[in-house]
Amino acid sequence: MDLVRFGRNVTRPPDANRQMTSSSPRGAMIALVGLLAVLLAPSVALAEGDVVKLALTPIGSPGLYFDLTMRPGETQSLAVRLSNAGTAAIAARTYAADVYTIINGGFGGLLRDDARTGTTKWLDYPTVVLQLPAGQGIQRKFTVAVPTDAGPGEYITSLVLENDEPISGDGSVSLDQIVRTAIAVVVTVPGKRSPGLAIGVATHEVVAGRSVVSIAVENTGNVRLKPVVTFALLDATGAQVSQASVQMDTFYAHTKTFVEVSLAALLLPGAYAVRLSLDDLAQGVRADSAAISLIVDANAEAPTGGAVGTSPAGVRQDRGEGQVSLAGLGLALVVGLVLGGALAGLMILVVWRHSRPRTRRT
Amino acid sequence: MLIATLAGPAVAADTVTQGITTGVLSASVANLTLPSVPYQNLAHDVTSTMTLTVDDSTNSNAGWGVTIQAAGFVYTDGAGTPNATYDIPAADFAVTSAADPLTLAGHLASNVAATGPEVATTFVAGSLSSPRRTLEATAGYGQGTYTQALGVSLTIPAMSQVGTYVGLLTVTFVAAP
Repeated sequence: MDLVRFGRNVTRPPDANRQMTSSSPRGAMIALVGLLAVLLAPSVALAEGDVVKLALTPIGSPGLYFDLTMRPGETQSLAVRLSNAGTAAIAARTYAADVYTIINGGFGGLLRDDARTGTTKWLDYPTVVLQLPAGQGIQRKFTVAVPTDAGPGEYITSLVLENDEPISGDGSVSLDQIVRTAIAVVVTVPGKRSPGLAIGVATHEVVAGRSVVSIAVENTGNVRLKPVVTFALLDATGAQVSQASVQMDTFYAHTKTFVEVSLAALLLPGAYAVRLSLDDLAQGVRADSAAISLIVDANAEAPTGGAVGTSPAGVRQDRGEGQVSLAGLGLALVVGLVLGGALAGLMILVVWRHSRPRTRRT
Repeated sequence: MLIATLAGPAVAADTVTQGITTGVLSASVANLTLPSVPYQNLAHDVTSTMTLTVDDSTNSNAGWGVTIQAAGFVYTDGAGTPNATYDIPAADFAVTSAADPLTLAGHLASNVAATGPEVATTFVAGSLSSPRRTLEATAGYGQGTYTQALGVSLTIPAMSQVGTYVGLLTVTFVAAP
């Protein structure tokens, strides 16, 4: 495997690596020539149909990302390989990016223009744009420095490599495209592990003609989790309308995200309650919500669209079951008025007939 | 001067070139053009199907995941002049469906959990203003070339002006715990 071979060829203590490029005249010349080849290689504009084949690979570290254990105040020197396996030179941008948890769990990396905060500031990895010739790669060194006041727990940031110029779309309504590869830099500071979870508010939206219920959740602890989500939706009468169980992907420490559940139908307007539980058996942490209020707006639109990819949660709800529509309410009012009027007229007629003087027939 | 401008001294000191002998993960999304529509006084939806193609030629069998997200659509008029008043926010662009992947080469796609490539188990249709993971392969699977049809919908605001609207789609491969 290329990663292993590459690592064996160039892995050396950071000081030795530095010596190769700065103190050895021959090594410095080779590096300079290589660098100029990288920087001066012509690149071509990308158009739809072109494929970006960039790779970002840890050097001297097992696995596909960096998984470090460091103490407060410690600094480590690391290296990555940035390569272009495509058939044309490309201008590639590489940068460090904050990591967050995406909807239903998993890795999210901020974009090129977003601010760098938190753990990302532990990295000395300035943003650069490089011209990578076809079939070539470069090695780039960087450092991770853990602040002296860092508490125990798991921290995460990332490195990103992407095409600098977007692949151009075509047409009056179109999309340009950036393809990026991101690898995590995980730093574990030894000490007490304190898993924690919290559940927030629920909201409703309509996607492809179906209801999607979204609940805010937070990993309040200092370790990453993979909780199982149990979801139940109750109508105003307390009857269960829908239920689902979802396995979240990684929920990173000290991050917030949303659990989203797609329903098989569009909910009727009205008031509902969501009951949610998050349970990570491996980490020994669980959170259960009280009834979370959910209001489905009467103006919720039902746009056209296809089916969602994963199986949506079933909905048991008939019109009139726990919810009363405005049209139904109006119809009931009209029928009630008509029946009431008829009943009142009948009673008046009966009273009038009984109060009338009777004439005996002879 | 060129080195300092493009890369900076730190990179110059840390860089060596290397050839590449194995493949990489790559992805691209095709059919990025949405249907043109005439001017309308009411908001309306434009739907289309994009095709995500993923190729894993790493020979690592490490598995992978792909997320997509979008930035808003920037408006320019017929003279090429932008006008942010008519930009369409990313929240109005949604992925409405993610089809089962088709295998072009390599490991067969599967609909059975944990034997991907498959529709991401965490996928839920929704706005692409937030990243959505649409396709994934667990470790031991996913070495091959695959396509996935993605239904998308763009809500064109009422009285949007005639011109060009260009968004930005970001496709991300992830190696992370």
